[in-house]
Amino acid sequence: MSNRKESRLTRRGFLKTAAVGVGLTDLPYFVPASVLGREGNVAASNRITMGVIGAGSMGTGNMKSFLDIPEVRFVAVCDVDGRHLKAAKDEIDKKYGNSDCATYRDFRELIGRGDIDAVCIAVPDHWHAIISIACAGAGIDIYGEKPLARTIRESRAICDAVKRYGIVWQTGSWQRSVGDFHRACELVINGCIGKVGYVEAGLPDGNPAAQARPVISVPDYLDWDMWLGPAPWRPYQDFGGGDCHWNWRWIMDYSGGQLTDWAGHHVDIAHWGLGLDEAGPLEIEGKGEYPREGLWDAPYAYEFTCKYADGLVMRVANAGKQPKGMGTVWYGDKGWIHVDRSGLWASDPGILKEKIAPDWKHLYYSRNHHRNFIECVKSRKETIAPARIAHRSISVALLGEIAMLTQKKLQWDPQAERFVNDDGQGRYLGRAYRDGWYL
Amino acid sequence: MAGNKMILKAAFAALLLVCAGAFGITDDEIEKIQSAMPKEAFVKPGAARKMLVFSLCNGFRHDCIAYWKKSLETMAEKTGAFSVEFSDDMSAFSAENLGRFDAVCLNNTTKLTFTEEQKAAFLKYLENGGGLVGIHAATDNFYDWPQAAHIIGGRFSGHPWTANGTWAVKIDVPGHPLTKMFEGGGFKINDEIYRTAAPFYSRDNRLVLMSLDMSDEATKNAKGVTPEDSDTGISWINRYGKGRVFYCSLGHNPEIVWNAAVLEHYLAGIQFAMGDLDVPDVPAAAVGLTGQEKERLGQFVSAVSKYDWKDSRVVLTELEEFIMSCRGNSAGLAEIEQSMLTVLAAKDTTPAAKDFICRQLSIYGTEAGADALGAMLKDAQTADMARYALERIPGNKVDEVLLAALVVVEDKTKIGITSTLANRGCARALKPLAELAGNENQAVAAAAISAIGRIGGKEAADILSGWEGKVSPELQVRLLESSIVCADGLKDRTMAAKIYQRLYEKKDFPLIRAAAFCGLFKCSTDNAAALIIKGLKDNDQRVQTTAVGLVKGLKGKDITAVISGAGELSQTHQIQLLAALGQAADAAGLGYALKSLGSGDGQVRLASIDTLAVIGDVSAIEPLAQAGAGGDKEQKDAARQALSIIDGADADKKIVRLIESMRGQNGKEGIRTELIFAAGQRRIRDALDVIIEEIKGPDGQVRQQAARSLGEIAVPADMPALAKLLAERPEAAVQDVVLSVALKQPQRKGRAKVLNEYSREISDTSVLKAFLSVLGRTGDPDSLEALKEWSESKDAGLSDAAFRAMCDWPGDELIEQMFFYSQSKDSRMSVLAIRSGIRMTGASENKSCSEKVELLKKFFLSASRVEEKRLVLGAYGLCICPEAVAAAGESIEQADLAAEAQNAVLSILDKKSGRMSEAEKGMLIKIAGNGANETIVQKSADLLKRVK
Repeated sequence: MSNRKESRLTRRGFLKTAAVGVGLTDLPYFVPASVLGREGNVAASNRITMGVIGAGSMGTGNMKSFLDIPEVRFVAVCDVDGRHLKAAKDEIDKKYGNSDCATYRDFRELIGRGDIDAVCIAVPDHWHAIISIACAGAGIDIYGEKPLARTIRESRAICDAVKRYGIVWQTGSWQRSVGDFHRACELVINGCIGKVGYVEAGLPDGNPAAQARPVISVPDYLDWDMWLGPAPWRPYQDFGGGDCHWNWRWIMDYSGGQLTDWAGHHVDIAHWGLGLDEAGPLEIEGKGEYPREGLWDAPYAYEFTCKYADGLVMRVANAGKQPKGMGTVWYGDKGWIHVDRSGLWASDPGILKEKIAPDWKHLYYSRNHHRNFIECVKSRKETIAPARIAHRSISVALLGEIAMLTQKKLQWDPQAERFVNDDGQGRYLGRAYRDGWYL
Repeated sequence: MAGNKMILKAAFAALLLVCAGAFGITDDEIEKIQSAMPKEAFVKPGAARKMLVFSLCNGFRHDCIAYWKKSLETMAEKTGAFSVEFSDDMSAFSAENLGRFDAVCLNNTTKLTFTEEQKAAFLKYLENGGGLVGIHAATDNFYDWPQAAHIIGGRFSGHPWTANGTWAVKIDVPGHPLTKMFEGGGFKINDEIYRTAAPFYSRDNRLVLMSLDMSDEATKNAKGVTPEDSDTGISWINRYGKGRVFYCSLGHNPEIVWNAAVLEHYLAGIQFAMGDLDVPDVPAAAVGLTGQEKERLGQFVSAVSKYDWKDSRVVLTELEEFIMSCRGNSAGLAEIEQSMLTVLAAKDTTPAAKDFICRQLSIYGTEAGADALGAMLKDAQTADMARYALERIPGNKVDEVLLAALVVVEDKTKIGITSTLANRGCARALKPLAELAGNENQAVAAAAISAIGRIGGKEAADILSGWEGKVSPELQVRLLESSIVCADGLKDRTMAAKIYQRLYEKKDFPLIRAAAFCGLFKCSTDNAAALIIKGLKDNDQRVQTTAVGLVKGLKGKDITAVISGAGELSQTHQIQLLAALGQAADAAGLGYALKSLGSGDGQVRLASIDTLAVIGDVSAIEPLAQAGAGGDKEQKDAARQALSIIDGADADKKIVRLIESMRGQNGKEGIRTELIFAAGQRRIRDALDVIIEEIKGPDGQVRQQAARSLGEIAVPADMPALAKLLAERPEAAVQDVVLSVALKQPQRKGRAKVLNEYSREISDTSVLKAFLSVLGRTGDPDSLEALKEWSESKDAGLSDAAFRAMCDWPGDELIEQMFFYSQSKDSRMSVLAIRSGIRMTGASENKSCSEKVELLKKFFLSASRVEEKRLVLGAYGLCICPEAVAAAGESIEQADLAAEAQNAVLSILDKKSGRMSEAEKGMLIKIAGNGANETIVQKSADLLKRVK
């Protein structure tokens, strides 16, 4: 009975404060999750009620993958763009042959339904922390897109919330669930190329385009204020594709460009192969090239080195600045292994034939990233790409970003997660949110 | 006894030698000092100068003190820059006595303690223009007098750079008179370098002339170096009142006092301290902007003030870059900050410009901007960005401004400020926030409550518990949540546990209870298992699930206790417990996982298999094989995965034993198949014999798996056993395995050695055929003769087998042979030979392109059927040379071959480098005009375009 009481309370609370129009406090802080069978009408293993938060290109892709999983039942979708909202609803309704899927402009309303077990979130990076933490606080399991967050403070806060509420988190670092990457990492971690002293992560080249963009009127279908959310206010602008979507990636208020977008892939894989899922660099140094003109301000070219304990060095750079281009390359004292989405290579092809023996280290195996999430929602097992690991992957990119912006060699204490000899660089670890939003 | 005396004498002599090193300076050394000493003063002294050289040590006493006395005495005599007087008596620091000197030199003094009177006299002396010179250990003083430590510029904290090492020094102010003796560049020196602890050493209030060069590996990696040592000054000058200070860390080793450059450095430094040498001494941080820089700043700031969102960021970039270029110049940055604050306050500055300036202030701003930014908090339009800046600016002043604003600003801004105070971890904010928690606007109250928990600490915990039960139901949840956050952050874990316990008892809040349960578990020490059992029996399913999940953090007997105390679990919780046991990776969970493998529920069985993959041992092998044999595909795959990775050599032995013991048993075929699969996956060498036996068994399924596993396990060295097997079981599956093992040897020669030898002993025709088939596919040149020989056998079956084996030959040795067979009247043989010949020619790595074309032409002519002609045309397409174009070109107008011929021509021309010949161009035009299909027409048109 208690859960029902809670649900009513929070729902009423939501409506009341929504009328006042002030942010976030109206959150329905926690909601009973039907996956746990509290109502006695659904068993954990046969139905998981899901919602979509953010139904742009990535969100729709995730949604489609989950639609293919029999236990999943989508009941709601949320987006600040009415066009996205309609397209996603249509897709879901078509699948189920009805018109039941509910739509929301405000994620708090979706959470406030009280019947959502899990969500997939694909929103601009500056929104990740607030939405994720709100969902975690409501006991909702999360498939969240990479990068984990826009700042290290936010990233840490997400990890804490995930742990605090014991929710299941899967990061969209799906390369972990792909054979070649898993294989490469198992070979490296088992010493097939000897002791690794150097690793390269090649991420996509950025676009140096430097155009100013017009300020335009906000279209009816878009809630611009909600799109901005915690980010500093700016008038609605064409970010490059006629609207604000996709190209927000090149504006530092919302993202760190290709670097932060892709660190959740190839840096993540580099860590995995080295057994450094919970480690961080001690020294970071490098430089970025930024557009001097126009609207975009994220680096289009970047290179920095991270020094880890034991003298291991990781060099992160855009593909054009890496000898082997895109992907992760580990260099050991007996050879190298290079893995990317287009293949797996080694200094000696014989290395790739190596069999992982029973008593060697076996890495977490998942054949399907979305499926792995759903399985873990049921078993409460940790996923293949949990928040604590994604936090370390994105930290590398965010520290690199700070090193490039400050043009300093940074010394980082990965345990305390603070700078040693902080000469102002610590200011970059977090950002103030717009009035009304807070962590 | 006499012997003992001898030893004593020798020891005494040795002691004397040591003492000579400590107290006496040899003539030789004096000579070195003399000759290294500058001939004249650095500058002509304005008057007769006198320096007090003070060498008292209350702590460690350096051997070099005597050397420095001698050196300074020599310096005084030789250069005439000053005269010296020595003292080791603290009474020297009287006002009267100090008045007789132009400078005081602390010659490696240690742990000096001054009376209040002496302190006052010394400070007064310096304020009035007295000089202070410090050598090496001069920073090892003033432990109870921080002001003096500030004046000398440091306080000793060890020396990772020891006396026997060689360290790199960099010149921080090249071209400065005090560094020009080092000729502009850095240098390496063998000496002991002092480290000085913060905050006394800082570049903000002294001009650092030289410091350790941390780009030097040896210097950076000296034992005991910490990241804080990245700026280790060696020599510096600064002012105190009218007085001047010169300190240099060099001089521990005696050799330093005859290092000419260092001596000149000291001479110049002493003359600076005495007031004779006027050199720039403003700290780099305090230089400020030059006139030109001021002008540029004005231009940049003015351009920024008109910036609008739709404009190019270039004006912002210019100011940003300018600010970056001034880093290290604190005075300059202060000027820039003032300039930006002025623009921020100006009426006609655009909102976009204010936005940008706030961003810059968030990075470079100081408390100087606190008031101006604070004023902006009162306007909702500007409050966000003001706070964007304020949140990152350090200092109490900013906290004050934020707290003052908290009571007067709009509600929405209040929420923003609470968040900023929380992000700043501002403990002073707790009281005002506690008041705000009672605000009638629930949104403001909730924000305040949240901020209190995030700031954390005991006081915050008390405030939050004090509000419990006194807030509206809506806020109650946020209050409890904030208490959890607060408890998570508490250092005092006993207090945290009390909070968790209180929250765990909040009946109506399952999520809070679950989070509190987690907290209790983290605080638990000896009662972890009991706690988990309690959670499992809780009425609330969230708490139950949380409790199951926490089992992953348990070990050994705690796991055993939980399993036995858990009672009946639902299917969901069984699955979750199994997952947790797998994550715990502890053998204590094994019994439960094995038991669950017998569950009637498929999902539970699957979960137990996944767990056994991690914690399973030999006891899990047979049950897993059974599960693999008896389940659906998902269960089979999981069981196979588990069997492949279960740990240990014991597991390997067990698998072999089980296969052996079950041999021939009816009804065990399924299990045996799983075990044989595992043996293959695990590449168990010891399983070779039992698997070979299984291949001979009666069951088809087992045989098939055994053949596959044999292919995994066997290596070329096993060939004798494999040949024997092939002789016994000449079937196709065995042939394939034997071949796959032979091919594991990378080089072709020798691959078939064993098979060759073995084949000579064989009389059974069907066995021999099997051998020939394998021999042909190995491509071992040593088996060619045998194949040719058998191909001439009178036994039609054998000669045909040999011919077919030759057709399968992987190399190019048999092309002529194939041509020979292609002439056969037996059309089946001719066709096979032509096809193989084309394949061998195309794949040849030894023949040139034109050779290949010649051979292909021959096969083309031999072919009677259009199918083989087309194959030849296809093969032309892979020969990138003009001959192939010509050869293919002959068929481009032949109706039944045109498509293949044209495709071949296009494909070659597309890949061929160099200019196209006229004939080729003609051919291209012809194809374009008469293409066999649309794709070809399109492709030829594209190629023509490229040519033109």
